[in-house]
Amino acid sequence: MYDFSFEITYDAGVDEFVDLFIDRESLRSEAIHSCLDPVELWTLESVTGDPDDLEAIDTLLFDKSVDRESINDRECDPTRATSLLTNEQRQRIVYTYVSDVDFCEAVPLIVAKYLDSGVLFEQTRTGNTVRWRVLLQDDSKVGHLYDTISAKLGDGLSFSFEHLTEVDSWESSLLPQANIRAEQREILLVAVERGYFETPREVTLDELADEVELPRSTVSYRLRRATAELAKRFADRQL
Amino acid sequence: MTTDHNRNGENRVETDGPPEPEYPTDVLVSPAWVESRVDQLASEGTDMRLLEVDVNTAFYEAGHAPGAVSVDWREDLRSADAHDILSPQEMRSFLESCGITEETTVVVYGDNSNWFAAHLYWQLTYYGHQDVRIMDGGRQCWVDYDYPLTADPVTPPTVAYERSLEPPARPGVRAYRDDVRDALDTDTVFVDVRLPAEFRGEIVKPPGIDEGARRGGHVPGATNVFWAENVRPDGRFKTPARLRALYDSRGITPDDDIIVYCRIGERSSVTWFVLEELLGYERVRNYDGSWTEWGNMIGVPIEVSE
Repeated sequence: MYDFSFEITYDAGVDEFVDLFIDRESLRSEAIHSCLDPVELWTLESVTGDPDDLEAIDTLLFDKSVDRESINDRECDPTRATSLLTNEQRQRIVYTYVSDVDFCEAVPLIVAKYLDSGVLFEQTRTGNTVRWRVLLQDDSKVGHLYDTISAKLGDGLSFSFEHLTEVDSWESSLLPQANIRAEQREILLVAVERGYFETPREVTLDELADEVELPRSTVSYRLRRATAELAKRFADRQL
Repeated sequence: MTTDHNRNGENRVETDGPPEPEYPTDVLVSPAWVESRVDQLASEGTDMRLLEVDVNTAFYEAGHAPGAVSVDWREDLRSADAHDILSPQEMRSFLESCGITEETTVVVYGDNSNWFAAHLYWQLTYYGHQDVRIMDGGRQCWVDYDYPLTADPVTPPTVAYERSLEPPARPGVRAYRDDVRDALDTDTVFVDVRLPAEFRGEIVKPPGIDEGARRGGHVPGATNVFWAENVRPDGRFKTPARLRALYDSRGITPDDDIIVYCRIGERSSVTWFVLEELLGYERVRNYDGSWTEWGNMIGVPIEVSE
């Protein structure tokens, strides 16, 4: 699989959705898109940020007339359906289905005109920048995509190519990776079940070690590794 | 994006196709103009012929305007052996196989706002074909505005092209590397139509494409006017007033001696068409060797950064 990555930067005032990210620095959005045919598109988008900033973005997230997709000001009027999947103080996860598209100058819809082999799109918004990572089965049309997307940008948008490489890993906050080792996960589950994380602790490290028949130092190490991994993943999602 | 509803009708509700372009129909025709002549274009007669030439050659098979003959730019518009545009003999064979005589009105269109359609237009102009026109907006406009499509391939009968193509009738529309070298440090204006990152020398070719240059940068003194600035979001050319304002704002005027170039000479054909045919600038040449030639040559000056 190939990773075609590029950034689009926006001047203030050309895109009302991006403007909020420019005005409110705590906001960050990660989305994945899928578009098998250039008439429809679905998007799973996680927006994180300070509670006030998230409240400010709620209106736009659920306004069906707000065009969060197009990269120029050509008016498009597809049908949009939006569902709120997660509503927390510091995070919204929104599913959006865009259908009945006659034409819409959105990156996934433009790409779908050139490729019909199931392309995956990852999009990250922070400040005035929208970063796209397009995951493709083959790279033969990337030159066309580069030329076409860069040429379609409206006034106030600029294109910056990052790289075209073969993919060796992918991390998305929307698809958390199970990167806790099996032996760490096992001791973590036992520890939670026995009340090790309760206050006060309902079980000691020695008792856990006896139960799983491992040295205390091994149990301690695996628990620390597992909790460290969870903490780092949590922190990544807040950044 | 925030939509601007009132800018020169560019975002009009698209129900019956785009408005007629404000340009002479002997160089630029609208999709409606083509649609009203579909029967004539699709007939075996030689009065009129429609050609679709796409960068993405897969588009034609997915559907094309009725009567449109497929042109493959890789196979049909360049001379593989000579690494050049078509020779007079190759151009004659190409036209004859497309059912085109010296009297035929040729209408060209294609994807990417007519990149290779403009390149074919330019080659036909170079060889002096009398009547060639571009369909405004190209393939995208035709598809977006729901003009009729068919998947049937079109194979017109081969005809004879009687007029001599040798020497080319209008050599003045083409610049060679020596012309570029001679024009350095003169009043000649070089217009580089590539992306700013290519102009600055950060990228020597688009990703995934082999044909590029050893060095990045641009011809010394060139002005960067990205080719897509000539067109609207739906692929049609901007209005005459806006195109004039664009080039005026970059200090490029109608009486300048102008050489345009890009990477392989096709995007610059769009800008050549705008300056020469739509705006009527006096002397515009397309340097079709473009950056794949200049950026690979030994001993020529280049400029990097802004």
